[in-house]
Amino acid sequence: MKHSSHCRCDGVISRRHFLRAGSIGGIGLGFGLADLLRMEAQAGVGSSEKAAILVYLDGGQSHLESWDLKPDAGATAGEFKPIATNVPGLQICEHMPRLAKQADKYCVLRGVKDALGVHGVGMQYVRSGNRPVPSLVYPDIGSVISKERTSPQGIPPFVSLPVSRTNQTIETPGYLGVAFGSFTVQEDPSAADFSVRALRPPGGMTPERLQARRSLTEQLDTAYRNTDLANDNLAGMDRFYAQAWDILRSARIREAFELHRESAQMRDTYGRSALGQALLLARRLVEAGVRCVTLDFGGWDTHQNNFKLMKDTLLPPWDQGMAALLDDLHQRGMLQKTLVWSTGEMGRTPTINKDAGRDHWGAAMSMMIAGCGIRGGQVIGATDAAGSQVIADPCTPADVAASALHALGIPHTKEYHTPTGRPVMIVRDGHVVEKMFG
Amino acid sequence: MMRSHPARGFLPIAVLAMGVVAVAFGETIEDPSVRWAAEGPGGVPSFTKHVVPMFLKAGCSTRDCHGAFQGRNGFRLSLFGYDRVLDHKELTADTEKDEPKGKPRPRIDRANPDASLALRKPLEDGVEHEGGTRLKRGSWQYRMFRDWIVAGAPFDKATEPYLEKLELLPAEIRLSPSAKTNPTALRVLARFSDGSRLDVTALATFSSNDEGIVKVSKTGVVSALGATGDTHIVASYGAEVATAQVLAPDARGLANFPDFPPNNPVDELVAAKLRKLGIQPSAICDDAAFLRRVFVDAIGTLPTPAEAREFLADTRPDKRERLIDRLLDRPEYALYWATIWSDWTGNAGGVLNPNFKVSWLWHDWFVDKFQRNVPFDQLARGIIVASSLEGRTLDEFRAENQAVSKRMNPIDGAPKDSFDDGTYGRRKTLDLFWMKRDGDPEEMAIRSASTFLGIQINCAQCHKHPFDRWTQDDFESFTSFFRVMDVRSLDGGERPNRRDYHLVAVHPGYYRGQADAVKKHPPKILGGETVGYDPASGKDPRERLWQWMADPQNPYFARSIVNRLWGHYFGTGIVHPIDDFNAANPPSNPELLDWLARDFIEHKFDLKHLHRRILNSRTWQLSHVPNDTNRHDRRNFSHAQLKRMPAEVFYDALLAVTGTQQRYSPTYAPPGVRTIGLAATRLGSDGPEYALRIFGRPKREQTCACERSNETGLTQALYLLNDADIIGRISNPDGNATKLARRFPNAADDSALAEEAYLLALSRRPDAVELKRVTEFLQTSRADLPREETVRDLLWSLLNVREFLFVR
Repeated sequence: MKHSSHCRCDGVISRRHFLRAGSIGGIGLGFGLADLLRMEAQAGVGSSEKAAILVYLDGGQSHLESWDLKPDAGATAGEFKPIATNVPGLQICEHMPRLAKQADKYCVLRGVKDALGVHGVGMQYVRSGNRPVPSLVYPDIGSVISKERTSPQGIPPFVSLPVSRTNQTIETPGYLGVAFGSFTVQEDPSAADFSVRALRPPGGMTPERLQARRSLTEQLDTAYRNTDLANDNLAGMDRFYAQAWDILRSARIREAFELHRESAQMRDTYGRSALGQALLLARRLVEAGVRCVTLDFGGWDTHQNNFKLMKDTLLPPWDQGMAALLDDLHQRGMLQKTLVWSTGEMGRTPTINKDAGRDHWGAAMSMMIAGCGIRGGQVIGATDAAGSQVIADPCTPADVAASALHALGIPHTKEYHTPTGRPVMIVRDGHVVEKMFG
Repeated sequence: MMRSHPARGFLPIAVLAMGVVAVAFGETIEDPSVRWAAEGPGGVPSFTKHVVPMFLKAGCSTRDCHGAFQGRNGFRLSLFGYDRVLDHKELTADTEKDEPKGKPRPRIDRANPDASLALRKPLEDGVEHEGGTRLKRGSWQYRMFRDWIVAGAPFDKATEPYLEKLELLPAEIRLSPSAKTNPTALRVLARFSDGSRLDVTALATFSSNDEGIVKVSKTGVVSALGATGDTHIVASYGAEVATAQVLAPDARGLANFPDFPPNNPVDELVAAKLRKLGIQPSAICDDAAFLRRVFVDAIGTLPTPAEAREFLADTRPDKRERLIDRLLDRPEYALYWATIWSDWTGNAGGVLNPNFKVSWLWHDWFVDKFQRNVPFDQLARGIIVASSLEGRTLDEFRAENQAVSKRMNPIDGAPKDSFDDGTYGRRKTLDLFWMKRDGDPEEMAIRSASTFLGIQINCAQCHKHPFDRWTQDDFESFTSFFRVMDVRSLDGGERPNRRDYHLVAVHPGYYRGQADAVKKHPPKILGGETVGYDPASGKDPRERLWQWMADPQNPYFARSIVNRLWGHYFGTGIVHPIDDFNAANPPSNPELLDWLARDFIEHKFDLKHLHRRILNSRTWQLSHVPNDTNRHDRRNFSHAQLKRMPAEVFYDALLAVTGTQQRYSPTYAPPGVRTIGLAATRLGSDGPEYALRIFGRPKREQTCACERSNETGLTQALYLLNDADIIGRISNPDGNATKLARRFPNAADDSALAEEAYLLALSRRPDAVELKRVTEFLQTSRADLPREETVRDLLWSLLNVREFLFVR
């Protein structure tokens, strides 16, 4: 893969090193692939495995009030001013002051085009990298990662934190099947008594008794074993039971969810909002070995009061939480193996409607992406004077998804088979945006 | 864009000297790609027939390009070209911007056609076009479009015919099982309002509904991809779509098709399709599987061990039929189906306070209708033509309503009286449907169309439905049926207080503040006549809406309800999803759907008759065990699909197996209520809201049957293994574990205990291997644990085998 040479800390390379070392050592020591995988699994994020945090801005973030301001556009300029960042020449919205100080860490994509100007399918396109078709439901990127990457025992590979959802469509494992769906945590991490009910430890039962129950259950659970039923839900439940048993026996995931283990200062840095605490939680989960955390943060469908909503409600917690996450990951040396991606499903219209809102706009939108070898402090793509059309370095949501997977070491051209045997590429029409890694 | 003509094997074609016409069935049908095949007098194209569809075929009027709401780069076309007037206006208008440089210019230059931007842009002739080259000089499309401009870009709405019908031929394509590649060329014929027909193959776009089975080229050539099964090809032209069924039979299943003695005509129609596809049906299921399946599916309840024993011991040949009849007469039938209908009608509160308590009245209303087996057309009338007075005087209504309100909000605080005694349930009409707090007319129109007609008109709220004929005008004028009444206070004031409400229809000035919308879009039947609204006449326009729905000729009403029930029982609708009837999503077995609908109408919309038809069919009673030809079949009902128990059914089953009860705060639910009969979505902190949520109970906030989820997830596995709720129920000292331990205390009782536990949890007896494993477990645990604890282990295990959650 071409980008490997650019990547400062690439999983693919280090994995290959490992393998080479393993095979050499293996001659005398019997050190094989299985051992390696086990070591990696035990090591969690310290291994070559990478992880992703996707912050999905449900509703469609206005590019014109965030990453791609057009102060000279006259009537459509809007109310906000651009400010300088810690990267010379790169300006972003004045209501993103904290992100302005982290600009050296992320890449701004201003030239994303061809999004679908509709919430449901638009979201599916951005998050799966495939334009929705009637005949097949494509998997969310989290499900793809869940399929491609194992987590340490007792750690679910894909966790979804629906901070606030406004879209009726939610992430789906699509043709990969429910087994690769997310572990969804509905509880609010900013609540004083935050704890995840599903993860409460087994009380009042010895490990021996628990094991006896499991053993009896496995002996009795024979009904659907002997025939291939091709039943997605049933196969999913098998996998979930296996994961659930691991979770019951391990304190690791529970500890990851214990936000009180973080200092008050750290929690303040992320912001005490639901999103801020969810982002802090995402970092803890990735540390524990979760491979993909998705956060849905809704409310960006600003057909009315775009400016007031952006300024008062939407941008501040997002700016604070995202900036804290980038800085925190960087301080911990985790940014090199953690992809951070923030995107809505579309941009918003350059024209301002009668309700001081902006409507759906698929022709141009912005995204932010960082980590995993993506070069920070750069802008890729540009729109015209109104922010209406992409005029330089265009890319599509499919290209960005392909690039995100690429950064994680997953070739987007890999083929899966649907339950009926149809071959499909992970991302059908995408190309890796090489500039991101340059 | 030049295309080579595919061979068309199935219709005789003769190309005449001037290359204008093809002959089929003795009739001449024009093919535009032939008519403009060469330079010369192709003649004046029609805007409707030729130009507008050309824009769709070239991708110009799609949502990504000029079909977007705001157009693209200042130029807007109606989505898929459904609005000819708008398109003509836009095409012949000046550009907004200075394009390419200079002052705004006309897109169509009648004086100098070749200078027209509308021509130069898609040609990329000296101007930039973001969409790239969409038209090639010298192509027939180019000649056609240019001829139209040369002729002065004519369009007259009054005289130009409109598209009436689109046909895709052949309507059925059977792919040979042996040859993977035997391309078939499709042909699309359009018929217009003036009777003229056009071969529009070259102007149509094509897509396959399952690209594992078949793919279709841009020119309409179909080739097999190897997978077996069936699907549809969808062709679009103008604003219409047409479909062709594709059958890819499994060669292994074509020979030696097994004997399939029909229980009723359902089976014959299912078998006819299976035979065509070489999908062989599974065997009929055994009695134990039937027993659990029919209890769970029809009444949402597990059979008790006694009921299971009785049925399994019964030797009468018609015992299944008898059981079906008995179940449909049980109170759980009405309770469970009232809950299902609460989902389908969006029972999530109303104007009364407390909001959630209204859900109980709503649910009561359905319970009463299902108990009395009110014919479905009458039930629908009770909703569509609801009123509060129902012929009562205002005083009578006020008295009754206040009595209901008082029971719901007891002033003396007596909790046992805090739910209605059935007075509301017995009412003829469900006025609450019209009084949802968030139920604006648009939402009601969308929900009504979805619930009773199975169609999603919500697309048409913003743009023409992409796969059906519904336009924004259709949406607005249909919605007006739901604008002509209002919720009023009993003293006539505008804002009802929380008790003294009533729903008023046919009253001048009561328009929910939408009088202008009603004036602009008078109530109009979907695809039918304008009913209009004249308050002075005293005529309720909704009456006509209901008549149209319940008319035996209505293409949706009966089909939609039979399909909903079918979808419930099989896990897959004949049209699937069950609430998405549209031209691009045809039924997998139209003959079956039509027959069921006709039979339902002939039996006077008798719901229990419909349940019996389905449940007594051999098809519904097939085993879940697949064979090699039907393993992947999901569309043709060749074998039973394992179904995860729905949330409420699961929870009741958990209560039954553990022998425990759920108590609710009297504020939220009446005493003794079953989970399957929970009307409200809010249950208070004591209620099982967590369990119901993680098992996919809907909040009833969306107008989509997809809101309920019967999928599985990690949270469910963790709940079943370890949640305090389930552990607490198993450990309950008054529960079944204790009772069973007392009833079967000794080693000699082990087999009997195993049998009882199996009947309780899985509705069947253990087989020899299972019996051995259970008794061994009981023996080895005997020394370590008290009997009660051992029984708890056993019940816990039986709740965690997949057979508990997945009904076969």
